[in-house]
Amino acid sequence: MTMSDEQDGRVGQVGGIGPVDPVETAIDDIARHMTESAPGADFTARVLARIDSSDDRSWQRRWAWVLSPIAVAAVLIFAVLMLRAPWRSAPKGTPSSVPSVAVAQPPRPEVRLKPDATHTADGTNEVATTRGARTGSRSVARSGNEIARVGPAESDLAPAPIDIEPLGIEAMGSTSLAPLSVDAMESIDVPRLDVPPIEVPTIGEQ
Amino acid sequence: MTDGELVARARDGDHAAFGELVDRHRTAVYRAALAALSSHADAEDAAQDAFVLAWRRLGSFRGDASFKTWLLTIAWHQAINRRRSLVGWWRRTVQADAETVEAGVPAPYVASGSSPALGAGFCRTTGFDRSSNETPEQLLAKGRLRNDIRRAIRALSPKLRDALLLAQSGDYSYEEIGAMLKAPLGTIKWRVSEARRGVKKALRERGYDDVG
Repeated sequence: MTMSDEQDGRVGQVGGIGPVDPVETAIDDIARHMTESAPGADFTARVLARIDSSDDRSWQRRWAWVLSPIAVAAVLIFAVLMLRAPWRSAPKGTPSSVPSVAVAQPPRPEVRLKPDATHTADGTNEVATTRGARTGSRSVARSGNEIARVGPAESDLAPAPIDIEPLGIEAMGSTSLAPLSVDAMESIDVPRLDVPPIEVPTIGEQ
Repeated sequence: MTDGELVARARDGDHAAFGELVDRHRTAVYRAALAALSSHADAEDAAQDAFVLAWRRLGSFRGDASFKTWLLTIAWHQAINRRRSLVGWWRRTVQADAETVEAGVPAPYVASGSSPALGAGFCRTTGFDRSSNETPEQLLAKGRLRNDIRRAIRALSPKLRDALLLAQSGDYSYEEIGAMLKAPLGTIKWRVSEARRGVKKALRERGYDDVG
């Protein structure tokens, strides 16, 4: 039976009085055996070696903590500069000296598909819909005989303007129509069609 | 030289003074780690970690408790962290099975050729002790009983097992165990007696009828 070490405060059998039960004695004995071993003889040397190496590495760790955010910041700045670099911007179309793109279209006769109530007095009108051959260049809303010119290179390829006298078509006057009267309509002689009722035999009689 | 004087020197960077402290307390630190981890390799690693951490934190040692108590709390914390890690759990699970096969036979039954590195509690059996008056059947029954007790201790809840192992180790005072387990004295005593009851209950369930 394990003796209690109450004099120096050590715990051998807790409570000061050892158990008389042999099973408890065996339990305490085996519990003591489970932790009875000791570390190796070179334990102290290994601890001191770890302390020495950790002291050497400590300044490296300190510098790593200082340099790593600087490195991250440098990478971010570089990335931002690369994204916003001037040579990465999309090229602007035509040089600024060239006037804005306009269409060289010869004056063509206007063909209205609908009566246009917006006809003005001076003969010019706004085109609701136009129809005509396009030369493949862009169409621009225009008024009257305005002609827009394109750049010198495209004007060389454009066909020569054709002078056609505009057709002056007078607008139709709108007349009000009289409401239709059913009684005034001529009747159409259609013979009355008598259709005998269809007899459907009930189910079961067949 | 007292622990306090050695600590003062170690704070000034004296590695030899700290080495002396390691020599004085390495067994207690190691056994506390072993009680928590049940594995010699893990216990050595945890004990080394504890001393290295204590070296780094020497400046924070205020002297409210003894250096040994302060060191044991660090060691216990390191061991518990290791116990909670998955890798440590796996190693202990595998090693516990291996040690259970090897152990279970007390020292008197070991032949002279046993390996000292394993410690007195982990001895291989080479046969019964001819000098004993017990029959082979009795020796076998004893060995089986010790095996079952060991298994029952391992099966206890961590709180009860830790209290029992630390209390029976013989290296720690009540105050030191209380500081490690962060529990008052009465709670520690209660846990130890509860651990014993738990082991006896497990033995009865295994068929040991004469267990009290």
